[in-house]
Order: sequence, then C-alpha cells, then structure tokens
Amino acid sequence: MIQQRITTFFISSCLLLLCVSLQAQTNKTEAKTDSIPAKTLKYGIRLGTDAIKLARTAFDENYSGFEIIGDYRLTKRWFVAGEIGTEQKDFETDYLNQTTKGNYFKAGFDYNMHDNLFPLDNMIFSGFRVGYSNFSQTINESTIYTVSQYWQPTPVNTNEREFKNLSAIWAEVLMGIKAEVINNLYLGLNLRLKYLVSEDAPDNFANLYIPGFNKIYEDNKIGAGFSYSISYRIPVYKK
Amino acid sequence: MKHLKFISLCLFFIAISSCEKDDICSESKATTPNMVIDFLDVVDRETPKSVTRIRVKGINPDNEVIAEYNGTNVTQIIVPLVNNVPDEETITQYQIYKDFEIDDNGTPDDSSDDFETGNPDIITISYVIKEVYVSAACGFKAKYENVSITVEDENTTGLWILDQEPTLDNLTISDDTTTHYNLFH
Repeated sequence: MIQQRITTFFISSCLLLLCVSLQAQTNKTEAKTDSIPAKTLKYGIRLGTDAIKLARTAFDENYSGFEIIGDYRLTKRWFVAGEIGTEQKDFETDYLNQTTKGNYFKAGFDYNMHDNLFPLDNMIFSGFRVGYSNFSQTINESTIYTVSQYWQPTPVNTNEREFKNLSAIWAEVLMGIKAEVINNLYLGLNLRLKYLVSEDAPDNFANLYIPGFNKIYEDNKIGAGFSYSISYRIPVYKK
Repeated sequence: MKHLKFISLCLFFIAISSCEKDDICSESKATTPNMVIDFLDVVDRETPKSVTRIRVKGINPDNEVIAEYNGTNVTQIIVPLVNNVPDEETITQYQIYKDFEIDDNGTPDDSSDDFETGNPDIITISYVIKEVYVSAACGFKAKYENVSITVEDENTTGLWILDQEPTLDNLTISDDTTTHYNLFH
C-alpha cells in the first residue's frame, strides 16, 4: 500500500515535470517566426510497456502483470493504438481469498491535440479504446460471514472453486501526454475512464477484478486506471 | 495550455484518491441470518405464551449463557446457528431453561454451594448449510436448508416444550425477519 502510494507520487512528480517542459516549448513557439523549412513527421510503429504494471509486479505481492503498448501514426494527429497484456490479482480478506487471472487486449485511436514546434514530437492526446478480456476466477478459501460471534470459530471452506473462461467487454476514454525524451524514446502518462459493457459473472459469485479493466466496485460499471508508458518508435520513414 | 492544466489537475486527483476504499463489510448488508423461534400456547395454538425466567445457553463446553435470555420472560428468542463447511448436515444444540433460578442453598454470601433450579430442555436444530454470495467485502453468508428441531429432556424434570413445528414445510432460513419455528408449552 505504502509502496503503491510512493509509486503514485513518483509518477505524479514526473508528469508535472513533463508538463512544465511542454509548457516551456509552447511558449517558445509563439516567439519564433515560421522560417523553418520542410517540416517532416516521423512514421513508424511505436512499442513500449506500462511501467506501473512492472512496479506493482515488483512491489505488490498480490499483483503481477505485464502489458505491451503500441501505436502507429496515420496522419499528423491521428494514431491507431492498442494494448495487449496479462494480469493476475489476488484478493484477500478474513472471509474470502480469491485469485483472478487472464489476458486482455484493447484497440482504438489516439488524437494529438498538441502543436509541436518542429522537430519536436510530443503529444497531448485523448483517445478511446475497446477492450476485451478472457479470464478465470478462483475462490481459494471462503469463510461464512456472521455478525454474531457466539459460535466461533467458523470453519474455513478450503474447497477450491474455479470459474474458467469468463469474458468481459468494455470501452475506455483516455487523456494523456507523451514526450520524446531522447531520439525515438518516449515517456508518457495517461488516465483512463472505463465503462463495462458486458461481463460473464460466475454463478453465486461476482467478478472482483477484470484483467485490463481493473477492480470492479459493487454494482458499478465504471472503472478507472492510469499508466506510465515507456516506448520506442521504430522509425520507418519520414514525410 | 488548457489541456496541460486539465491533465495536471486530473493527475492530482488520481494521486490523492489512489488510496483504495477499505474493503469492510457494511452493516447495512444482510448477512448470515439467525433463527427466530416463537413460544406459543399448547392448547390455544395461535396465542403467544411467555416463558417465565428463560435461560438459553449453547451446548458447547465454552459457551456462555446468551445475555438477553438469562432469567427474562420472553415469547420469542432469536439465536445464531453453528456454521460449518457447506452442504453437510450440521446441528446446533441449545439448553433452554424455564423457571430458571439460582438457589443459594440458604447461604446468600457463599456462592460455592449454589445450584441451578428450573426445568431444562435441550433443542437440537439440524440443517444443511448453503453459501450465498454477498459482496467482495462480506464474502459469503449462510442459508440453512431442511431445518428441523427435536426436543429432549435434560434431566428428570420432564419436558416443558410439548410440541414443535416449523412455520413452513422444508423450512429454509435465508433471513431473520419472520418466525421460523414454533415451540408449544
């Protein structure tokens, strides 16, 4: 928990720094005259990973996950983008011990709203995704919840119950930034709001977590997430 | 510039809200029910009849007397049942005294020679437990199926509970808002 907060704080600080540096660039734009010749844009597939998932895998004993992110420039402002990943999340209280495990992919578009000063290639973007996950849920242990403490202790049901081949579909909108820190290497951060469109819920149980979507709050179809991306553009051509 | 401010603001809120909501089972959730038992008149079988100076105690070496039912006059008791792993036949036993009193044996200052008087009967409640999912924080609650009660006398004082019957056939206890069983005396 504390480690998670430290990670969050670290990332927030990084983003603020990125904002400041982007702001500095914007100010410069206004001062320059447009005497720069032949502006070109770099095209090519940009691949990377989500550093938050790596950090959580290292520090959070109830979580492991890995995600590959990718995008490809279509026009000056439009990018086709997506993520593919795998996650495992354990949930444990005094009454329930459960594991969710599965894979997901997301596909959609990003739109860059930022006007770069040539030859910079930074992004302030918004985008949307459609996500799909295939996963399993396992109840490892359960203990009946009682308010009365009269007959204690309640025996633990250690009978493992696995619900396989569950799936979910959701939509996401995101806002983020991406900055080229050295040639073709980008750091970025984005926030995502998600809406669960459909899910297979197990009989007499519920999906507590959906890989790629995140934690499910009771009777709530809204989810959220954020990621810190490190990515590299494999340059194909300039135009 | 607007975008930058918007994003920084969003980030700030994410950063401060990243402490997860505690996973605590809310008290407003209906969880494992207790069993509701009414005492009725054995002749006029629809009239509640008070049990004088009742005392209810779970039969288990460590169990204490239930505080609400220690020498009080009641027409209804609400008692918890023993929970076990699901799908197995489980029993809960209570010793129920009528006219319970502690006789001080003529020596009010000396509690070592006190003894209990009254008429104890033992009820045995048998049932099968099913797990019912509530929420992530509460986990599962119990539901009790095929509930039945048998009554036996504990010593030679004779049965004071003369008859018993469930309010429904194939009684299932899934909440504790209505009476589940009637005991006649």
